[in-house]
Amino acid sequence: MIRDVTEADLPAVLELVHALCRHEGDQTLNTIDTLRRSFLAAQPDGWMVLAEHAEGPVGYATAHITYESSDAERGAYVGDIFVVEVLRGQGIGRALLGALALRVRDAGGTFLWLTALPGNPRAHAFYRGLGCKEQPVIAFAATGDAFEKLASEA
Amino acid sequence: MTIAVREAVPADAPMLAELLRAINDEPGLHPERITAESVRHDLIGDPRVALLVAEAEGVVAGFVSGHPFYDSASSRWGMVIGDIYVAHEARRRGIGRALVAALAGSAARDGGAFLWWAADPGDELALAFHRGIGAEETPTISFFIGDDDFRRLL
Repeated sequence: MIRDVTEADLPAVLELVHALCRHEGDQTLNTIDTLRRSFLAAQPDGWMVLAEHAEGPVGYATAHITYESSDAERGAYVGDIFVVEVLRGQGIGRALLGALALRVRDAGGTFLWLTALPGNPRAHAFYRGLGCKEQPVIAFAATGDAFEKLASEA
Repeated sequence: MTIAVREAVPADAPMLAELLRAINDEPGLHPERITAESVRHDLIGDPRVALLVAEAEGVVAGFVSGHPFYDSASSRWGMVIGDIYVAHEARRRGIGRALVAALAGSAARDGGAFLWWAADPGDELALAFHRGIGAEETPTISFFIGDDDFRRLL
């Protein structure tokens, strides 16, 4: 079953987020507060959906509203998609994206947008299997000092 | 030359629609779908979208749009830049940087920690600008699920 995250899910979801971070080689700095702010605030800027089995959440996906000016269309950028290792290849990932697509459609959106690193063939195969248009881009991130410097100029 | 950056207001919609159509005037895109009404409703009117306008000597010379995004890898939230544009005749005067700085400042005031955006690998002008900001760059693949592919997911 796929459903929206609730406050009661946050501890279990945090475990899944940390699992994704470890899988990607990132630090596990996420806290319940940071998740709550983005997905459970009064005016959330994104959605988080969970895939749930009898024992609890086994996967999750997040998306944030975005806008494609070239088509004058609203849609969503998918931030995370994760399914526990033992349950992969069974359609749970597709179901999670489908649940996001439904919410995006109900919010007036018409597309999902995802990015993946060139060295992640499993993700590429998954997205291509769904049908998509792909193109190489350069992703720029201003964080830490570069971000602080910019913010100080404002 | 004085540059002032401020939030867009409904009265800016016709001018912004014109600028957006100019950016998207390429084969395969649909600039005719961008109207003052769509800009007013989807961009200016959406509280989740940050839309800043730069005025040089009192005349609108450029704009930047952004959406909030939660990055689980760093456990922080920040902004994804959707569009950034400076009118041809107003370039190379620091307006682009002033716009990005204003977006960073606005995000920082709300607890945000990064700016993120994607650029076309072949767009040398954009790449030079982005590098000048001191952002980290990462080759990435972008996957777009729209139209029939999106409908199949629902």
